[in-house]
Amino acid sequence: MQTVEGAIEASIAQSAIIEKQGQKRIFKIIVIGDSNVGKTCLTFRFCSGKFPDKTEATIGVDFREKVVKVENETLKLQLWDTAGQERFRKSMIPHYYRNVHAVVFVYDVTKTSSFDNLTHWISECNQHKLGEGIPRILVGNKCDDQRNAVVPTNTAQRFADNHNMPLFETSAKDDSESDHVEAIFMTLAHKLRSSRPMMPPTSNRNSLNMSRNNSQSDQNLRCCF
Amino acid sequence: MTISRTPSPAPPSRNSCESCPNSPASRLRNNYKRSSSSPAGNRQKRDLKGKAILEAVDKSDVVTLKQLAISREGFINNDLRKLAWPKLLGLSENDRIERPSDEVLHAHKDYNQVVLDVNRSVKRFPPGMEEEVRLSYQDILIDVIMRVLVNNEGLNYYQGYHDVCVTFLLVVGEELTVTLMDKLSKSHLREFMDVNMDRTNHMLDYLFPIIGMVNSELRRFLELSEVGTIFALSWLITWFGHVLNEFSSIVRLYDFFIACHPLMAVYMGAAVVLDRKNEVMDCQCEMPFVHSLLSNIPPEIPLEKLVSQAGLLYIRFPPETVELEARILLENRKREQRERDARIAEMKLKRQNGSRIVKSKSADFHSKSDKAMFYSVIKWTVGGVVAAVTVAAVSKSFGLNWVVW
Repeated sequence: MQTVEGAIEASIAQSAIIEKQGQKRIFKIIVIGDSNVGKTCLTFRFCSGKFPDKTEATIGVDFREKVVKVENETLKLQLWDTAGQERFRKSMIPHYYRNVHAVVFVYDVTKTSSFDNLTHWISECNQHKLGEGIPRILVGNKCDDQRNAVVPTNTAQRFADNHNMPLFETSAKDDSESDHVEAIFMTLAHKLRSSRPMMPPTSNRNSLNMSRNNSQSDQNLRCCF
Repeated sequence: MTISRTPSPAPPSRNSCESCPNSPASRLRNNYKRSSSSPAGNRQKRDLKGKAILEAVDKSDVVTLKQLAISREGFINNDLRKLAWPKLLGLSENDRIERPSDEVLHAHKDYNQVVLDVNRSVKRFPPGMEEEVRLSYQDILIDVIMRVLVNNEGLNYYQGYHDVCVTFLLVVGEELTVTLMDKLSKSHLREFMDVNMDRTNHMLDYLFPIIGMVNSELRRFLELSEVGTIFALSWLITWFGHVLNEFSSIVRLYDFFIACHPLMAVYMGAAVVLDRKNEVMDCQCEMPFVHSLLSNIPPEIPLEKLVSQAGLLYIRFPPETVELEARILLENRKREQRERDARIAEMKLKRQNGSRIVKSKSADFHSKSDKAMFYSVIKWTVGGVVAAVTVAAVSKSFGLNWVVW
């Protein structure tokens, strides 16, 4: 049973990280991964429903947002689309890790190095206190290019399991996958809405509880797809 | 006056001489002439300025060229730019960089990243350009970038460098782009080409103090919003080439930036933000809102006004007067980094269950980068001699009437 202090603490924590704009709760989601894995295309697909005509390298950080409805609650998802080149990751991106509510890791299923480098991205994230306390998902992009796919699904799934995240394989380019991209972010929106409080754990005990809750919730998510 | 993006040049050919009538440069020139109809008064002024530019080019008069580059409309057209840019950078016609073999170019550590970025640079080419022509340009663009990188071992490619190169390529052609970029990469763009972005970050540290010297309320607002300075990163490292749609605006700014101190792009950024102060202050004081407002530059920005305001900001608040405040921001950032490092070390320590503290690699890294930063500050201070020439050029171009913001 939660103590009064605990409830107050949780409430303060929640109000500190979930900003209100009118009645809308706002969630900040950072999208990270190697260069050219399709971070811009994924966020663009989700926010505008289409594949961008002319994409170019992201320099620094781009920002996109979308208002979504989850179980009668209107939420605003703010997506921070980051540059993939290592030099930006090290010097520029840290500023954007602040107050982030969820992380989307992206790799390219046709490029092994982009999958191998996920370890660096995850460790970078952990360094910014974005550990298991906040929802994280793994997205394997460019599934339309099946002939060149080199990252096996089971390898990616094992990796995702080890890091306690759900895995999604999709294609931002393929129009028929449009609903799937939407569903991925909507899953995240559901998870954000239901995982309360989304604060980094204040004690080891909380941490254990929270990671167990997350993994259960991950299981559920995986069942859905 | 705004001139629409240069119409599609002809397919570039390795074997074609750039001065021959069918060369890309020549087609570009003809296209430009067709598109530059304007009222007689303006044309007369441009003709006069054009003559002055040609005269300064003939005499290799760099000081006059700087004034002409900074003053209204810069070098006016791309024909003149092709002549004036190399002179402005002190290059002679004999400067030529040999092309190494494909093997050498392709073996460079940054080759793959360059290819990825150039392949995605479609937006940087004139909208009407045929795909085939654009693809040949993209091949040449990769070549140009790799040649500069191979020629300068200590330089590292950054995403955005390709935006700068494509601008030169479309105006001056392959060979001249290599020599111009080779020179610029060792001067104006040098800080961006370090192994990391620390010195670039520190250049951005000048942005808020410059803004604050004109409008302290705006600076406070920006800092409160925690927007950071990343919205201005591409402005600085691509000289606005990544964010402006009008090619004519980009090349005009390149005239300005080549003629000025490497920090001028930050002063220009400050002028852009100050010009939009009302929009900024009306927006919700939160990072996302301010970031998305500022990172999208409206197409109708008053470019000439902003160039002159940037120049005046530079004269009024030269880098050495802003340096202390920028240094404070740098120290704050370093302190935050140290705290983060300490947290990571603590986390590691906890994980190791009381085993000995592992020396943080990042602490080493930062002590090295501190040293680099120190040298950079000294370099900029010593660079005051260069800066003084710029001040003289800027002052002469604008007069010394301060702009009231």
